[in-house]
Amino acid sequence: MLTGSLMAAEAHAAGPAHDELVAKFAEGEYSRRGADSCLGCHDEDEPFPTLEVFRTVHGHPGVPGSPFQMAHGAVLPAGMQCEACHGPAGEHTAGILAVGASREPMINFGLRGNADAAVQNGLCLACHANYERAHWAGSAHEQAGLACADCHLVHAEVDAVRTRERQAETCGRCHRQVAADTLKLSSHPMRDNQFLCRDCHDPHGGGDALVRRATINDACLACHTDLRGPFLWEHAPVVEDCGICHVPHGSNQPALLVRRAPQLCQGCHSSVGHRSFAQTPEDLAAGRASAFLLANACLNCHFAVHGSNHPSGNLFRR
Amino acid sequence: MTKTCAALAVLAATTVSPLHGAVVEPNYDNVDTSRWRCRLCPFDLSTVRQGHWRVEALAVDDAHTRFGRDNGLDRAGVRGNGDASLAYGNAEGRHLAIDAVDLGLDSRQARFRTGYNGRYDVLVQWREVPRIVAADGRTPYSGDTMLELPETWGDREPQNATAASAQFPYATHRRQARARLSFEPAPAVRLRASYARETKTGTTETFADRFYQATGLPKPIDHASEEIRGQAVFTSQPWVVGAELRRSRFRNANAALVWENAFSPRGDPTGRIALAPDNDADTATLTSRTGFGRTRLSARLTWGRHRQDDAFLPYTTNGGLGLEALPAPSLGGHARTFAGAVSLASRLTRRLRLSLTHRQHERDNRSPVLMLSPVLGDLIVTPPRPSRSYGLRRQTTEARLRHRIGPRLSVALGGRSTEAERTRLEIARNRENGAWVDLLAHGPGGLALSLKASQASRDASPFRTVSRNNPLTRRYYQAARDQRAWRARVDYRVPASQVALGAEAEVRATDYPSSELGLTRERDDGWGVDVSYAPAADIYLSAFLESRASDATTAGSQSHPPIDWYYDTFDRTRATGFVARANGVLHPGLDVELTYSQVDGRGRYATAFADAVQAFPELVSDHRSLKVEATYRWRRQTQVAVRWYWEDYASADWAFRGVTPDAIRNVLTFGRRPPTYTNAFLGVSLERRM
Repeated sequence: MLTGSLMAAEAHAAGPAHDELVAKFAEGEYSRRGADSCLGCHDEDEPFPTLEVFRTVHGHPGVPGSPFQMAHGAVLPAGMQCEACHGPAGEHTAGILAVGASREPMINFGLRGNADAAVQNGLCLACHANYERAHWAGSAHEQAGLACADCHLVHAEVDAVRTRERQAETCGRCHRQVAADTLKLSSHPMRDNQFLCRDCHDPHGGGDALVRRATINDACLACHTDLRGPFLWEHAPVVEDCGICHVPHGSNQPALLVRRAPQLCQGCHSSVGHRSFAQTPEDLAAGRASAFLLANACLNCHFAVHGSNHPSGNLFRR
Repeated sequence: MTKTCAALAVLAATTVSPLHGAVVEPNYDNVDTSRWRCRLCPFDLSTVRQGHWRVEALAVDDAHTRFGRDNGLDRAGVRGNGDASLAYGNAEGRHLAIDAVDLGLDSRQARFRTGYNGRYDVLVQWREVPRIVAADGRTPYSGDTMLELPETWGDREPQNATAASAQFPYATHRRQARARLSFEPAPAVRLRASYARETKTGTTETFADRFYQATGLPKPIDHASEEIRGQAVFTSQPWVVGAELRRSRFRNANAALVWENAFSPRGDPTGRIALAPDNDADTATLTSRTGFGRTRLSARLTWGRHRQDDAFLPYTTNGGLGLEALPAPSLGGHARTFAGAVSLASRLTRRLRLSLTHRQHERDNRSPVLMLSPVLGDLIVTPPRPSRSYGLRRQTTEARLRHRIGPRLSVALGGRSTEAERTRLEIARNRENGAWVDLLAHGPGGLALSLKASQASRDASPFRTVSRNNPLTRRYYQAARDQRAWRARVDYRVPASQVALGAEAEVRATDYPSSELGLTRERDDGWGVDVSYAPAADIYLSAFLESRASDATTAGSQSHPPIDWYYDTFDRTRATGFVARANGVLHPGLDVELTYSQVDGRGRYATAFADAVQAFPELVSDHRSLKVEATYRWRRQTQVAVRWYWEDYASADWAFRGVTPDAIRNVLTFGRRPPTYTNAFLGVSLERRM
């Protein structure tokens, strides 16, 4: 699948500062004044709005486990203020620099990330390795080298990926093909953010294709409960994998089909009679107007392709 | 039993591993926070009392079903819309938020949330999801679950149905209510319970036939789904252990749809089809995660049970056939499922990373097999045959090794083995083995290159005859296949500028070497280029062009054998997008965003038959849209916004073109036409923040 962004292409190179940053953590030379050492320089005049973090849970003094939790007895790294995430200051807060000199690096995240994704994520997971992220290690996004901050805005008051209006846009930065799919002839109601990516997917690690449920079929049947069965007459591919006939994000064929009927159906069904007939343009409305080709084609009669509970529904016609 | 024990053993193993490690090992030995006063920290920002309201006038140019398919903007004219929110939070961690979105549209949503950080959280949510598929379908039927023809129908032939039909809306409306309570009785424990209910009402389309004379029928939808969920989670690093129970049920207010036969002058005898049966599904999930050293181990095991016991309808509405009684009043359907996943991810060295995953999925359909004598087309009693139920077992093991050769180069090798077993099907077993290599290189400057190549081969157990299918056919999801794919992407960040360029391409080719009939080959190609430019934090420009094509060949035989026809199907999508954003650049306080999207779809189908290749007319599905949003912050707390959205959609589809209700001799269709329209809406809103 085309991913459309360097972010998804394991793009977090271990930059020149990577090893130095890791070493700084091991050395553990934290600042003497905590956030007061940082906020003297990093304020709202920065291109990256620093103070907005105090509008979030990360900058909240009353949130248990927050880097700015001011209560005594907090379990580290809670209460470690800026350095909980950006690492020990070391020489970064040293006084006036000589002309042309640069400060010792601090770890940055996301697009400005200067350490590989595993290092960045390790810092987030020090607090967030909870139930919702239990399957992050080894998941598709983790293996693709995604950093948490590629999707999440930690300093912003509103984390776009967690909002209904901006979630699809955030995911679509990488999954552009999926975003385009939602504009096709048939699609789930994602164009107007009625359905969100999160309604089906767990980006922190789910089953196949990162679905929130145990299997892809379980994810589909969570909404399409009417197709759950078990039916008296089952259709084998329906039981096996919805993806055999359908694409989930959008299709230029009706009903999110991978190909249209009858061409799709005749990929499997070939017994004597109409199932083995070749359908040609002579069968279009201007010609012989074939029931096997036009309107819903095979489904003009065999409409119950997802299964039938009718005693005479063996051919999915009842 | 053995499987369950093994699964539980794996789960237990993930919970008892004693050590914990991280990629970064912070050293807190020398931390002295006694002077960390945080005097410069604006903690007053954490106390929130804010809200907003927004009123909007929306004017839609024209009425088009597809234009307002998911949002209710399907009618022309002016309407009001609005949002509102209220939020409160204090320094102790109490919070409350109420928000309502799109109150004037059919897609309205509302949410209430309150809680105390680290103690409890309550969420109540309401959401409506409209879905308008078509409004130009025509039917002569009236009624709900008993569809009747007009009294004058006896004087007409179905071939004149167009004149006797009236339009009906093919649309549904979902209403979803959800409540969730989370409670943390201790720092390591979270309990959560939720209830969700969804109703879906409206009308969709279905078809039914009486012995090769088919009729399109408006189908009533009156569904209700409910789900109760309970969850308990224990977290004490490195352990995370969770248990979850779900109980879901589906209820359909309508069991059957009865219709009068449109191909009989008197409209009888009637036919009857079964609608979706009531069903229940329960699942229990155990989740565990732990870490030791530089290794993470996680497992998720889900056991499920699906039940369906709706009363059977009679074989037929035709009372004159002298049928035997049904073997049971209902199916007593019962299927058990299991889905397990165990994953291990380890940093073997600073540069070497190993991932192992094993997944298993089983469906054991324990429904009784009933001997039934289906009635074909309400006319012909067929010989007794067993009902059909299928079971499945699939397991996948995947390994991936990634080596960071240097700061700018890494390579990954991976392999996957999948085995599938099925009951009662022609191919009882598949085994697929695949491997891939993935290379990532960062060159000088901002250059990055990613290359991936993969290959997989699937074999199939010997064919066994279980149906009347032509024995040369291999159903493509069961058939032996060979698959090869590659993908390349290059990115370049132009030095000393804020320009990023990217290009990518991919190919996937699939052959079904044992399939003489059926789908024999598929090929997917894709390529794309993109550029973005962000000269300042408040200016952003990006554009992309992508193309994806998929072609496939299906072989068939009318003469049993030899093969005497082929379908070639080719579908291509070309997508173009452009985004420009300028915040406060054109005028202080004025933010402008422009988004253009274009997705052109083409389908070229052809049939090779009787020494001639005959091409179908081209399938067309072209979408173009332009969205312009301008927001002007009039005062500190007040802003005016204008949004204009224009959409042009054109489609051509030979399956519907010219197919009026009476166009097909033996099918009474809805006469729907492929959508083509140009439409726009303008929204002007006033927003005030408190």
